Amino acid sequence: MEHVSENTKARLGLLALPKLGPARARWLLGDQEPAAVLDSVRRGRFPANSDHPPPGVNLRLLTEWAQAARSLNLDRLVEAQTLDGRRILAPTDDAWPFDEDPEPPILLFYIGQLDLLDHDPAVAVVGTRRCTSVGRAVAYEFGASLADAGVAVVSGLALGIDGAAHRGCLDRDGQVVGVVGTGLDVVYPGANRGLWADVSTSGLLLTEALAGTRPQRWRFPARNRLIAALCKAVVVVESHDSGGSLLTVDECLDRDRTVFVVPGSVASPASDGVNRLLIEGATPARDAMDVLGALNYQPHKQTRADQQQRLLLAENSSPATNHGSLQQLILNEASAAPTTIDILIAVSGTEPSEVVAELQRMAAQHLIEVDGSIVSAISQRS
Amino acid sequence: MLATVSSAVVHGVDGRSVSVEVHVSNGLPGYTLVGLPDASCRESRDRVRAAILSSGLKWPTKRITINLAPSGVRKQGSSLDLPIALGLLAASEQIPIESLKRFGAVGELGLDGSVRAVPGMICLADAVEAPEIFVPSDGAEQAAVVRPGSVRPAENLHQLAVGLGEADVLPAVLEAALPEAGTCVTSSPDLADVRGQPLARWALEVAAAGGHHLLMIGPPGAGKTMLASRLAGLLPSLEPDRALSVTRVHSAAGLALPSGGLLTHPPFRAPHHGASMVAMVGGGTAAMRPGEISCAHGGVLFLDELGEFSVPILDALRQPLEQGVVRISRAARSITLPANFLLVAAMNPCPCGEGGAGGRCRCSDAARARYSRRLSGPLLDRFDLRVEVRPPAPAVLLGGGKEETSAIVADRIARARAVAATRGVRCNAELSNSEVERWAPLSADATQFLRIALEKGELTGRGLRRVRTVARTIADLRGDELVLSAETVQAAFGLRATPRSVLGTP
Repeated sequence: MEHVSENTKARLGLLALPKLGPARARWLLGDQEPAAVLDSVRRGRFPANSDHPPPGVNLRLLTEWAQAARSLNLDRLVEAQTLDGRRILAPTDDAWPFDEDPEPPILLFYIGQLDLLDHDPAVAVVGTRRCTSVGRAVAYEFGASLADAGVAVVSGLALGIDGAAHRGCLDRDGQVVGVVGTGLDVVYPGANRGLWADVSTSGLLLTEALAGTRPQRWRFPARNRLIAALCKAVVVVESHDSGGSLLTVDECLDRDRTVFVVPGSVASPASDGVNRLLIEGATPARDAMDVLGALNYQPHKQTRADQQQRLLLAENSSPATNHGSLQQLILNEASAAPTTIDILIAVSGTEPSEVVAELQRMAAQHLIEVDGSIVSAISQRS
Repeated sequence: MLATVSSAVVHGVDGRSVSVEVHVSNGLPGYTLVGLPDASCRESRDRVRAAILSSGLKWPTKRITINLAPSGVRKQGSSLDLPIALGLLAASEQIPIESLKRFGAVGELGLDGSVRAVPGMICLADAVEAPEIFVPSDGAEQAAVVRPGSVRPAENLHQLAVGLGEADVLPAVLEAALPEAGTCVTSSPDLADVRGQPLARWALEVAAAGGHHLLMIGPPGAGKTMLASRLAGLLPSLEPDRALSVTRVHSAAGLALPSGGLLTHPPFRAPHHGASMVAMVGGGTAAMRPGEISCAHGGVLFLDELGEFSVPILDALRQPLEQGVVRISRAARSITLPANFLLVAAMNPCPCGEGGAGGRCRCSDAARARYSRRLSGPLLDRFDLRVEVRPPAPAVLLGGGKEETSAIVADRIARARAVAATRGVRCNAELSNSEVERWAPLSADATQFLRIALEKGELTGRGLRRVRTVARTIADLRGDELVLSAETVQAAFGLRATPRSVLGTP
């Protein structure tokens, strides 16, 4: 077991107390030694110079804390936090990224490459869990092209936009940082188990919650503030009118991060939130280049020209030329907005079997994506 | 005096021969019925007594013992009323005992002596061992289908008693009038009523031509049910031996049969999603009544709102889908019922129905995950064709465009099935592994495409065989040559695409 300082152990102890979130813990700590604070809690006393307790903190709660604190086994707690490759990062460590943050976590727990925290720049890609297939494709593309440009991609490992951005970044061997709201041993949502494993092996997975912490509603907005703190800019791909990603935007604005939004159709409820942000003055972004341009960042890995070449290659390698016209027609139809197979059959006037076969060929070349009967173009731009 | 009449009871989709032995002797007047009769069978005593009295005959005031042999098998149903009555009349010397050597009987009796129809006429007629048989006139045609030239439709008990007795005028033998193939008029709605939906129409055509199971996924009102209800009209008529086995099931289940006695058109069964396990699979009573999946034998089983069916019922479909039969085992006995059907299912992408594209879904992640979990992977894998059905554009709905009629499509399907018949199977879905190797060879390009799909894990071993059989059907519909081109295989692969929203993967 690695050496853990007494103060870090005390911080762990505070985190393990019931009904004690980051805000109350910060208030308790003030600017005192954590070990001393835990000690006074144990003895049922509020620490010195902690006036004006936050709402809900009273003597009864303190008694509860004191009881829990007395029965804590700090060594066993440390051990539980450092199993299976999990590590603890404390404010005293050099890599601690929250020195200037208004609402720093008490401790961080991570698996993976800690040096990713120093990676500059890091861009967060966030959005709704209930995304459209277009939104998913756009998020994937953002993740992939940010990775190509050598930018670290930060997101929340949720369903929908978050997961797609992570996946795009991972598929291009990019630098990926996943910030989660549960303990590192509690995979949530379960559907993202594979993604969770990939991020922890080839990137950095971190949380402020103790191992074993189940998903709780309040932890996700809290997680969003960590995302905001760790990135230089945030890209909101899709968000409903009252989405959690709007909370991330608020946290980003508090911390002077640039907010980019991907404009969406006014008819799509999944874009209501981003379109409102546009009206309120957020910077629109069509692709990763728009983000990097606004950040004055010179990409050092791959450029847009490379990607266009890839596209050209794919087009030229199509097996037969008579497919060419149908392929072109499909690209034209799908590039404006996602279309359906039924429309493509009707517009092209060809047999359904030919259209379906052509779509399979194009999907294999990553020109389009077929989800059910929805056909969307993947790399028309960017 | 002892009289014996041969008769039968229904068991599953078969008849089981029963010999009704009636013994009338001196002693205290009484009536005993033995041989494991169930309630409906035991009630025959009162019906038979009233029928005999109403027909102007005498109820013997003696000791009556009736045995239903073999006595170890449970008997159910009212089909033994008529043989019991005839046996009683013979044993009490009101009709000659020898006359019953030549005649078996099945049928229920009314209190007025009339002979009434019973379910399972075909199975019963088949099982009765006597050279000729009296049957209710309503249902005699079905019996004549399996026993041509030996079926005598009976109107009432009096007619039989008089005919077997002195007058010797029996009801005439019914000649079987087999309906000719193709004369059956289908009442199935026409495919021309469906606007747009070229992809789903094509999938329906492939499903009908190759016997491939089809899953349609789409929001409410997209036209899934409308499409599925047109499927029965696309299938070719049943071949004679198949028609007989299908009719046998319907007869045993007590379903209405056409006037000719023989079902010539594939059945279309659409059970509600509230159906119980026994209603779907069969069994339940002593007669082991066939369930919905057996009633769909030779035709289409349409499960609308697949996601609302209970999980055990859906999983119970797996064996029949693979083997074409369902084995029902109960403590006392087990039975194999035919269940070779084309499964067509429709479901919404999520509980609110608006999932998939558009972002209009109101369901929570948990609700969506729960919904998609209902479809077990193995069940989903058995659908060779999975298409997403989207509501057609307003212009298509309101436009006056002409769509293909069922007749045209059915013609193409009949031709493709004729090609499949040259391979010794009814449809391509029935091709075995070795037959797939022989009849669905792959071109080099097609092999390459499938190899990549297998490597990427988009296809399982079973899936591979299914893709090849579907590709075979697509090629048959187009009149292509033996070797499957890459395009055909890609088209078949494209018909397996499941929307991610349904699979529950991000």
